[in-house]
Amino acid sequence: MSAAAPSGLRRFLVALLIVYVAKQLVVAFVSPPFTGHDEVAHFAVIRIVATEHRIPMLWTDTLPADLYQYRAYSIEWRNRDNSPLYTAVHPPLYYILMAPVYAAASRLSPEGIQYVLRCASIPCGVALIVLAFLLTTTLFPRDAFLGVTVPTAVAFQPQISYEAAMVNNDALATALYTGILLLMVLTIRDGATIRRAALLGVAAGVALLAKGTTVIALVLIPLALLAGQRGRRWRSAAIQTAVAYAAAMAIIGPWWWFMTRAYGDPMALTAIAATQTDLTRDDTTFLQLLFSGRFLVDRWTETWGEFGWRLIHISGALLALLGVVTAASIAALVAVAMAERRAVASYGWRVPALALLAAACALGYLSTVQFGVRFVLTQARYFFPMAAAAALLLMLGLRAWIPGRWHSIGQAVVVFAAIAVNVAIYTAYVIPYWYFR
Amino acid sequence: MSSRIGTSAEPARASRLTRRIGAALALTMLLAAMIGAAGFRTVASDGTVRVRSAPSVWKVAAEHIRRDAPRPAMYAVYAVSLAVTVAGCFLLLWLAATVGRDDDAARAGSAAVAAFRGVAAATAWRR
Repeated sequence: MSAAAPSGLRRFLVALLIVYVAKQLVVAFVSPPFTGHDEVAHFAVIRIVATEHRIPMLWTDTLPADLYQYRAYSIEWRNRDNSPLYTAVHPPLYYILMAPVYAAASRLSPEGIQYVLRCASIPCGVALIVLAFLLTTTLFPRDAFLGVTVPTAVAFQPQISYEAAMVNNDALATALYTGILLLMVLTIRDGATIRRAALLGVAAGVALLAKGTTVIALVLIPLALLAGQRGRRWRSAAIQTAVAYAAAMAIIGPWWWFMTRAYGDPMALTAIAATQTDLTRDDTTFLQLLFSGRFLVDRWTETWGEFGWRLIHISGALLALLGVVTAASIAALVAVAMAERRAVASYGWRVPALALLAAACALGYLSTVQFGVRFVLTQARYFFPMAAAAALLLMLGLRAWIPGRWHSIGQAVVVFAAIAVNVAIYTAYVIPYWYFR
Repeated sequence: MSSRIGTSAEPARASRLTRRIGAALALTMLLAAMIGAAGFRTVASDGTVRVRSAPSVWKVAAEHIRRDAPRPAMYAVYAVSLAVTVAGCFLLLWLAATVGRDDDAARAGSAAVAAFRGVAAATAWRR
């Protein structure tokens, strides 16, 4: 953080991180065992890695029979003993990181181990907030409004923080992807070099080892390297892109080779379709889903609610209010970009950097649409890696609505709103659903 | 561009400070009312709807966690975390209101409103 950073911003970030960790512990303990998205299945993979020291296989490993009582929180667990362990096709990084935690807690019951593993996910959320903060202060080092509101929006976004309190690889993938976005912004600001390209490739390779949803980074890397050229140097950008891809492939290549040999393609999509026959589809096209209001509303609903494997539905009025605020922020962002082109041009390197973040958001949604063409169970979680980019752009749009001298009050109101949304969701829906009979 | 210095700047600075403290105080009271006094329309898993206060809802969760936790320490961690979360949220409101200075942008209006006016004017001119 530069010397010109707003006074009190660092203190706010420290307080935010402390509150975040405490809030995450509350979420981890208030959610009954194995009720998170695919938690039973992720837990089973960690158990196999920790106890049998091997990667599970979709064709031979099954969902854990001893945890059959939690079948309501997994996909198609009809037969107790031989339902495929569908998370076996996920990349191994998260499970390898969690295996020592499992081993350390192995004397506890499965439920007890699961709570320990949930707590072990919290550092991924902390990393995400710090990276969102660095992304914001790199782009707008003297802007107090964005410095306060962007990390707050990420920390209090109910579903993104929920994932960072569950046994799940989403939070790790989101944090790593945000790190890649930060590296890309720094590359655009400081200029692209072979070394930075290699670093981007390494970061992308590591993120791909966490979850396949980060594959969009490979599309963004050439754009970032091109934007980071001083002058139009296509050849240099092409060489740097090749270096970045080579670095990425050196890391993810062996896993993709293994997946292709085992399942036919690097992401095992064909194998997933073969084992989840009831959840595949061929009745829609990419364009139909892209312009489908129902599809958009479903993803929006999942972005804020649908806790406990789509069991807990939050109020339509709250979702609509959040939708209106988001739409107003996007509209302001677009209107300012169009009406004040001269002022926007004075942003210099920030313009391509912000365009890159916008592209990350657009690609995140488009890839979720593409997945939905084949699989019924496409989910908002697949575009969560873009959380920090989306928060930054939305807060930039929201800031445009607020007169300059009201920014400090506006940032406090945003913090209040973020807290209030969480209080309302957990008090009115999540806790009553689990504990009131 | 000019800026006020010395004693002439003091009233404006004091006014900005008052505004920030006022906002933080108002938001603190609002959050306190939401947590302490407001009734939430709670929805149970069987669809039963009842209006309850936040503390009464949280108390039920705490009792379940105390009873069902695999280890007694889990309840203690939960209780401390909940207390830190609630207290920390109030602190965050105050800290958020005090970050940065308003001086640089003190006279700026809403960029979005100006932009929409600009777009609307350009559209009208084209007609």
